[in-house]
Amino acid sequence: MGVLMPTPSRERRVNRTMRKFLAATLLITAIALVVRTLKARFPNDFLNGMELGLLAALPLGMGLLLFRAYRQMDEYGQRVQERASGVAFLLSMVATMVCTAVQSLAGVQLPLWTIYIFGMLVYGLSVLWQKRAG
Amino acid sequence: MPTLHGRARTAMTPETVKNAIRELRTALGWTQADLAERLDVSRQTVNALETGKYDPSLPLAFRLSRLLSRPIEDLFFPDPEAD
Repeated sequence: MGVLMPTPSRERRVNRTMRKFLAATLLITAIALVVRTLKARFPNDFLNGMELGLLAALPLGMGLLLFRAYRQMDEYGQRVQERASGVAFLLSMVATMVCTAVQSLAGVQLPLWTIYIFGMLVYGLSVLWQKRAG
Repeated sequence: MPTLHGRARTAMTPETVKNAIRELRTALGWTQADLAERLDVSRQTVNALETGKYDPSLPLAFRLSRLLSRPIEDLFFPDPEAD
């Protein structure tokens, strides 16, 4: 007979998943940086493929762990995440349209990561705002 | 006698709902964390419920009702000051 362990509270379960998420993200990023450095010194097809694989695994792994964290949240936490994601998605789409217009009209080249940073910033602010305002 | 249109408008008007969760919780001597643990929700959720920032789903309302040994209509009621 196994020893019956008390079920961890919902907050602890979500926090544990988020810690795993952060650790996995940092680990994959660190390996990707090492591979990139190695590739710069000794360029070859194997390191090229490895870098590509890691860059593909990073968003997939992040998405999977975020989905797991979402599933473990309670209904209020899920609602906050849904609204924040919705607002971030919508504003990111608007930002993408504005960037496209600026690029074609003014000829200014904006890097793609600015959209990512903008979206994540809106998402974070939206979560904070909802937790304050309800 | 309200018109059909009037009745429809009344039925559609969103009502502000208040609740007695904080009073009942403190009467039992529980902290927000205690209630959250028993309901299997986060402490932020209990806080959002108590401050009226969030109206729970029916399943959560029934869990609250069972836990606090009160019918749902004793826990949640329309805000008389909202009219």
